[in-house]
Amino acid sequence: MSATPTEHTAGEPDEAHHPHITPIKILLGVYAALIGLTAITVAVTQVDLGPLNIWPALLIAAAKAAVVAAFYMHLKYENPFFGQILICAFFFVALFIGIALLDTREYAETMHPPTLTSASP
Amino acid sequence: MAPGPNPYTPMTTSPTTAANPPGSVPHDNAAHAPDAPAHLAHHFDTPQQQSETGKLGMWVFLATEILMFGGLFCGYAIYRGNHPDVFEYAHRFLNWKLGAINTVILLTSSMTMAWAVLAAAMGQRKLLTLLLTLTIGGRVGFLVVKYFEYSAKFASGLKPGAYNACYDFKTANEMLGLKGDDAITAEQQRYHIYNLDNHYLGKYGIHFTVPPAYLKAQFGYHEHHGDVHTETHATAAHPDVTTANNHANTHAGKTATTHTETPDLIPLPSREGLGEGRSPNDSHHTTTATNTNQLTTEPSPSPSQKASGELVAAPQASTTLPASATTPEIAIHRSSIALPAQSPTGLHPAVLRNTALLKHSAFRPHPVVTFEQLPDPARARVHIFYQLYYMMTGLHVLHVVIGMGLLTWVLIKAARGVFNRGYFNPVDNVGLYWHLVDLIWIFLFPLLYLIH
Repeated sequence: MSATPTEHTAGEPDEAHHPHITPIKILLGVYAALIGLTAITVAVTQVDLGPLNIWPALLIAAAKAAVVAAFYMHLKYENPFFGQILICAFFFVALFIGIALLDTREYAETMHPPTLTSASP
Repeated sequence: MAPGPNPYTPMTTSPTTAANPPGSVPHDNAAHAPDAPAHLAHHFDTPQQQSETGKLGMWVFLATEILMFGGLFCGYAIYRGNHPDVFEYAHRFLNWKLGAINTVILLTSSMTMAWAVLAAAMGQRKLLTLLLTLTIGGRVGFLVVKYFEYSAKFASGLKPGAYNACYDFKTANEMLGLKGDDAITAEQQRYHIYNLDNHYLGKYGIHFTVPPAYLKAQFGYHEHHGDVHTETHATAAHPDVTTANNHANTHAGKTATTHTETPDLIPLPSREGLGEGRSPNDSHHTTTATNTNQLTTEPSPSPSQKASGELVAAPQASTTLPASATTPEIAIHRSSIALPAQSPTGLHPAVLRNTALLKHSAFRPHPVVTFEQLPDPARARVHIFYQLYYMMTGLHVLHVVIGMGLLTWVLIKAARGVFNRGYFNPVDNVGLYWHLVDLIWIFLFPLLYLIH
């Protein structure tokens, strides 16, 4: 945040300090949505989609995270820079995991497909 | 700022009474206004700036927390990618219902935390205190459930343990489909790898000298074949190209005689096709042979050293190398290594493709532990999954405990009435921390408990 002083007068605590207060209705609504998404996550993972198994659960988890970040963490109403910091962090984690998985795929061909039973000799 | 007395003079008078104490540097009067809040630090101009700065610091810290857990998630991704069935098998021992209960507890606690921030913003002290207490209680509940989970696991022996991976590597022959006469033996692999090490590292002036006794143990060399191994680094100290021709033929003669006595070794390529590229100095073979176990490094590879890289590839050198084989412009690039002609005991050309993989595959003996080989009690101990499980959930629990400490601190301050509508930054920032801990659990729950 820059050091330039804002134009707000110091005499009005409410408006100057917190121009936005999340109403309780939104908080409760978000809570209900989170519980609902959790139930959907559990339900979705009962269905077997093969190699895509992880993606619905991950996408729903991402949706929950977005909702928590936007409302509980107040990102929707904050200085957009804070949201950019969060997105930056997730981007670097994705880069990290993505490139590491590229490396994993490189040597995957040297391994027999992993199975619970012993591989052929 | 106008020059004057030190602007950082601590305020000796209450900020609510003195607007501009005598001797102070004129600046924004927010901190000195009659109705300025007591909490406004002197280095901030407005309370809003102060709260936003605090939040910025907390967000940057949260970014580092995300990256820290990102490392663990990366480990999870790699191991799950390599052992999907192990993960699926191991997670059956996790009670997903307890995990779901924990998720709901955390979500509720998150909601009460956000509500607490709202209460603080509205100046409702009692409600704030209540909600903070509820939030802490939610975390305690989370820990209680975790305790049940962990103790149940320890009781059934699901601990992080010794069995790390069950990699079943393919052998080089399996990878390349070599069978029968084509199949290369482990010893041939070792020799090949050794030569490749010297080849690739030789580009950087690093040459290995290996004691003959070691060579004998590893590769079946005999002491009087010491010149075979010194060839790979013979050019280390010899940038003299003009005498190369004389030595090349002599060297070729030597290699020819060498190989008739060790037929199971990979025959070294003949030197004829190399031309003047090589300059092995025979007299140095004896001296370098005495430099056992030494790693000699050169500042920069000379042209002859570069040409020495064709050691492994040379049988076709006469046909594949350009006429200017002696010029320094030869770039020994991996892709430009000419493949050797196949011989009964030689390397299959395709082996060179996968040399980097060969080093880490069947080359080293490793025990392959499968589930069928484990005794029944140990079969349930799928350690690789539980190592990750305990690491990730354990670190998460640590964060929960730290959050509880922070919340207790904030709760005490709230109970004492420190916060008001204008100032509740600690509640805000601790709330941000707590929401991040919840975020991490939101990802942990499906990844650990809901693998199907």
